[in-house]
This record gives sequence, structure tokens and C-alpha cells, in this order.
Amino acid sequence: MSTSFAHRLVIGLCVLYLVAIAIIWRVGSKYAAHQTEELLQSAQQDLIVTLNDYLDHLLVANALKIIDQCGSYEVAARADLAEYCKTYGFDEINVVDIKGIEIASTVPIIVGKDMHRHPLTAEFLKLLDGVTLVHTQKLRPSVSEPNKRFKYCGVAFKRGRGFIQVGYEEEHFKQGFPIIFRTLTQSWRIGHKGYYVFANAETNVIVSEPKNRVGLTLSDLGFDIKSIPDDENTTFRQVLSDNTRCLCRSTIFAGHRLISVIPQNEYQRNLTLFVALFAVILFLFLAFLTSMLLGAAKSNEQLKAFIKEKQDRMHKEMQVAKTIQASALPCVFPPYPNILEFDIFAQMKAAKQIGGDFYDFFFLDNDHIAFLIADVSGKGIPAAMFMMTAKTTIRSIASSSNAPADILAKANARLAENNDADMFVTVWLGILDPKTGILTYSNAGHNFPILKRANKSIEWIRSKPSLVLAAMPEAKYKSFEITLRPGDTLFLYTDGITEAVNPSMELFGDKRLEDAVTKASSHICTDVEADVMKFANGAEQADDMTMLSLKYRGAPITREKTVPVSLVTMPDVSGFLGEVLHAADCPQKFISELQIANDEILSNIVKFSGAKEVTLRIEHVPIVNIWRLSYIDDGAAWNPMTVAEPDTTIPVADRPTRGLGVLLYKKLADQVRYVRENDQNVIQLRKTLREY
Amino acid sequence: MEINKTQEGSKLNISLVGRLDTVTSPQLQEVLDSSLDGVTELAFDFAKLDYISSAGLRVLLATNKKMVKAGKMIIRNVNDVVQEVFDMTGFADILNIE
Repeated sequence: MSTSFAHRLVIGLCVLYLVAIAIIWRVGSKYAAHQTEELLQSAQQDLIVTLNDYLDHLLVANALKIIDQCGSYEVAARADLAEYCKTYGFDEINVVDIKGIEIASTVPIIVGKDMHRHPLTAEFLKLLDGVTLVHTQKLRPSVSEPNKRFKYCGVAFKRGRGFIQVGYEEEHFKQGFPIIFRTLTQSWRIGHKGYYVFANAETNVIVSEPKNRVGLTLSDLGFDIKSIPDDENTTFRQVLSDNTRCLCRSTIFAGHRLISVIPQNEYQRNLTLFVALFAVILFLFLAFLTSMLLGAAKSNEQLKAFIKEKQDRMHKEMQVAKTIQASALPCVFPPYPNILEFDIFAQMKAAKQIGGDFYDFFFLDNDHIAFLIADVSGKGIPAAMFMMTAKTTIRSIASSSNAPADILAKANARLAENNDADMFVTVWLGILDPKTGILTYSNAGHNFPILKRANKSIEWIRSKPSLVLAAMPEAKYKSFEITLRPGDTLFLYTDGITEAVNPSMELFGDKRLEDAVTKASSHICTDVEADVMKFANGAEQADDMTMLSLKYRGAPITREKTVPVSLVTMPDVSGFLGEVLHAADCPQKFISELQIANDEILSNIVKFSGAKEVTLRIEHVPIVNIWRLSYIDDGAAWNPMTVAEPDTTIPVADRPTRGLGVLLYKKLADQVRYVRENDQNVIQLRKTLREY
Repeated sequence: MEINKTQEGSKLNISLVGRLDTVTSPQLQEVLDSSLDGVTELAFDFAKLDYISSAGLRVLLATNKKMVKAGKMIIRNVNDVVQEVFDMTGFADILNIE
């Protein structure tokens, strides 16, 4: 990650940076240009306003003198207006009465004319309202002499009783203009680099700052006269003779051309500074941001790696816990190979997460086998831990009692006592007496087991369940009893089986379980599991699937014969064996095979054991047709299993025949076992009569 | 066990009825000891023999050794169990079974 991501980040940010700078420059430039133009515009307006104000002021000041001197319009009408013109430099003086009639004027034809006659003159009528004292106008053609341009100003007499109107002719202005300009605009500049250029009608520059331009023509300065627009509100560009690009505005005032000029790079320095500053700040910011991002990315990577490591570790530990858990359950089958009366098979298939199901079985005493199945609430480590606790608690309490209800009640009390985590466990506990087939059981909230009778009929062992274990210390439990008959199989399971789902979210359910058990072979757990897996069709296993099957074969039919050890008594024993086998309708081949084994075992006892007596015990479990022959002699300890097999590398003909008998009966039997018990040798031979 | 002998010149036929085990083998051994002089062909008929144990195998082995030198020994009409025993012990390879 790191390098290529970092590279891409830096490159991306560089691009971003340059783009930002470019944008800022562009925006800034536009803004600067805008500001420049604004400056130009306001400079132009300032100039025009200043000029107008000055002229107004000039006119008004002088007109006021006349007002003072005359005092009223009647007096003014009789005054020597021409004289006033000379004195104050006016070109025209008109006296207007309270009705708005020009009663006196330096222009004879005006006398008697009504000011109302024309909008331009009518403007002055407001001087009659008694409030307005002064009114000025811009240069404009005279109403009476339209080919001349005049600037008029009106000043009212006291209380609006008439007013006088004075006028300057443009030509008059023109002469005085350069002086006026110079006076007013001395050392005026526009911004830092801008300036005014005043040119007369011949385009000679008459006033300018700096002064060295005076006397040059506009063209000398680089102005392209033809491209100067007439409209004073239009900004136009010029490249002047000093190679500056400028924005300009032009106004005509009293026959003179006033040009406001400002170089386009007026704000250049500001812009440059601003952009430079921005560039530096942005750079610092981006550098900071980059280091933050890279730092964050790095710590993100580190964090991810850390999390993954922790997850892996946890997963490994879960695996170990799962293994420990699984190995805590009895997993060697068959667990009691030497017990003929019953067989137990169990399996627990944990769901992905470590689970809480368990099973257990153990002998309470020689005559009672206890077995159970259980399901702890919840999943994960807490369930697994509680499962171990529950299992060991039940086992240790069971050693003190034969009654399932009693065991569960005591186990419950102990488990509920310290149950801070509010866990609970369902349990189905059975205690079987193999000799009689009587099974007592108690159910603490667990699923009902299925009893498959020898004739393949199904019975559900429904008993009113008591409360689950570990929930309430005072909970009561009940024992029930049922008798197993040879060939019956009891099938226990947890809800991981009945609640297994398929991809359509259907549950396996009781009915399907019943069917599966019904059609299962003698390997009931394996067959039911196969059915469930087929049903689940790939859907994920949500809960532990646990099963325990107990096959009851019944107490074997036992017959025994004891004889003194001698060759002479051997026929008695074989006769006895033959009689028993015959009475059970065993096929001749089967009988012969057992007779051969019998012969071998007995002859070895006779020849080598030094025993005085030997007992042959014949045990038969009819339902499964298992025959077990036990030879018990009181001779010296001698284990036939330790006899060396004949050396098969030596040709048979030359092989010593010692060990031949042991070889024979080992092969003829399904299983041979030797124990030394109570100072006796016990050789046990087991053979199942199978249908051929 | 019943042991029936018939002899034709140097051919001796022995048929057994019953079982050839620890108890009955000495009986056969005795008969063989006294009957094999001058016999070049010994034929056993096991049609009525129920089964044979290692004791019987030893007798057959010893007899077979002797007869192979003197002539030959044949065993006929072996039942399933006897054949099984011969197979299990490797005796099927050394005995002449028909």
C-alpha cells in the first residue's frame, strides 16, 4: 500500500495545488481587472463631479452677490444686467418674477417669456417654492439660442419671490479651462499609476500629470483617436507609447477631451503578492494535510494489521478451545467392548462457533450405566466453559445417587448457586440396569428422545419436562421408568438436529427426524446425520448437532460348565458346547469353528497351564447373535496373546507347530481377549453369527 | 472318531468319521504308525470329517513328510471348515488336496 498510495496522494495534491493556484490567479486577475475598472470609473466620475461642482460654485457664488445687491426681483429687473455680466463674467442673466415670467434679461427676446414653456427652463421654477435656493444645470444648448451651449444656474430671492438665472457660455469656459483644470487637478493621480489627460479640441495635451506631456498631442502619447468611443461610460483599451496597456475613459467637457487613464497592471503587485501568499499558505496546508493523511493511512494499515493479528489469534484459540471441548467428550467407540448387554455410540458436531452441547456416559456401579445428553444455552466461550462445569458437576454428583431426578436436583442446586452469567442447560439423563433393561430417566427441559423398538416401531419418550438446569435452585425434578427390551434402541439428540435449516429456511423438524430414525440402519447416528446434511443442502450449520444412541441387547443367556483339567474331560466340554450351540440352531459350520477354537484353547490349558479346574462360560445375546466363550482356569498366569505367531518366512513344512493353535483360534474368532482376574486366567473369545 | 481303512496293494485309503482334534488325533497317529509300512500312496477321505484342529494338523504334517518320501499322500472330500483351517494355517499349500 504505502508507497504507491503515498505517491498517488502526493501527485494528486500537487495537481490540486497547481489547479488551485491557477484558479486563484484567474479569479484574482478578474477581480483586479474589475477593481481597476471601478477605480477608473470612479476617477472619471470624481473629475466630472468636481468640475461641475466648481463651475456651479462659481456661478452660484457670483449669482448670490447679485441677489444680495438687488434684494428683490423688481430691483433686479431694473438693474443694469449687462454691467453685472461684465463684473461677474456671466454671459447671460435672466430675472424671473414670482409667476415664472422672465421680466428682464440680457437677451432681449427672452423678456416676457414664461419659464414654463420648456422643460429645461421649467426646472428652475422650483426656486419659487420658497424652500429651494439654488438650482444648477449641466452644459446644454440654450433654449433661445440652440447653437450655443450654456451652463445655467438659478438662485432664488428671499421666500421664493422670484429668482435670477445666470448662464455661462461654453466658449467662455473653454478659454478658462486649462487654468481651471490645472488649479483643480494639480497633482491628482488615479490609484498609484493612473492619471488624467486633458486635451483641447486640437488634441494637444494641455494638462497632465506628469507635466512633461504638456504640448504633445494625444497621438504622440499613443492614443488611437479613432478608437476613442463617444460614450463617456465606455471603457476602452489603449497601448500607449510607453508600451503600457491601459484602460481609459473619455469625457468631453466644454469642448475639451478629458481622458482618465489607468494601466491594466495597477493591481498587479497586489495580485502577485496575494497569490504568492495564498500559494505559500496553501502549500503549508497541503503539506500538513499530506502528512496527516499519510500518517492516518499508515496508522490505519497498522490498525488493520493489528486487528487481523488479533482476529487470527482469537480464531486459533477458538480452534484450540473447540478441540479441548471435543476431546472432553468420550470419543472412543465402542466405549465398552466387553459389555454385551448394550452398546453406546455418540457424536457431537460443533457449529462454526464453539458450542455448548455435550453428552456423557459412565458406570455408576457394576449394575447401572448412566448416560445423558445436554445443551447449554448460548454459544462461544461462556457456553463452552459452562458446559465443562455442568458436565463435571453432573458426573461428580451422580456418583452419590442412583435416581436421575435426585442427581439432576442436586446438580441443579449447585449450578444455579453461582450462576451469575444466567446460563442454563437442558439435560436428559437416563440410568439403565443392563441386566433387566429397566431404564429410569429424568428430563430437564430437553427434547424428547425417540425409542426405536426391536420391531422397528417408533415411540416418543414424552415426559412432562422439568425446568432446565441452573435456572432456579429450588426447581423440582421427576424420575420416570421404562423397560427396554432386547433389540430396542434409544436415540437422544439436541435441537441442532431438529432445528437444522435448509436454504429455504425450513426446519428439519420432528417428523423428518422420526422418518430418519425409522429407516436408519443399526448405525443410527451416522444415518440420521447423513439425512440432516442432505436436507440442509449446504446451508450453514447454526447450532451444535449432538446425538447419542443406546442399543439394548438384553442380558445374555449364560450357561456354564466346570471340569477338572485333563484330556479326559475335554470331550465333556466340547459336548457341552455342541449341545448349547445346537439348541440355539446355529449352523454346522459355525459350530465346527467354535469347536476347533475350543479344542485349541482347552488343549493349551491342559498342556501348559498347570490348572486344576477350568470353567467354560457360554454367553449368548440372541438379538444380535453374539456368542462369547470364556475359559477361566486357575493355572499359572499365561497369556496366549503373548505367544509368537508362526514365522511365515520359513516354509510351512519346516515351521515348528508351536503357536499354531493360538493362530487358529484367533482367526476363527471375531475377537480374543485375555485378562488375569482373581488369580485366574480368563480367555475370552467372541464370535457373532452373521447371516450368510 | 471312527477310522476306516481299505488297502489295495500299496495304496492305503483311510476315511474318518467325526472330528480330528486333540482327543482323537492320538488315535489316528496310532493307526498310521502301524499301517504305513510299504504304503506308497495314502489317500484320506474326509467326507465325513466334521472338523480338524491343530492336533490333527500335526499328525497330517508328520504323515505327509513321511509319505512324500515314500510316495504320495492325497486328501479328498474336504468340507468348508476343514478347507478353511488348511487355508488359515498355510497347510493348503503343502497338502495334496483334491
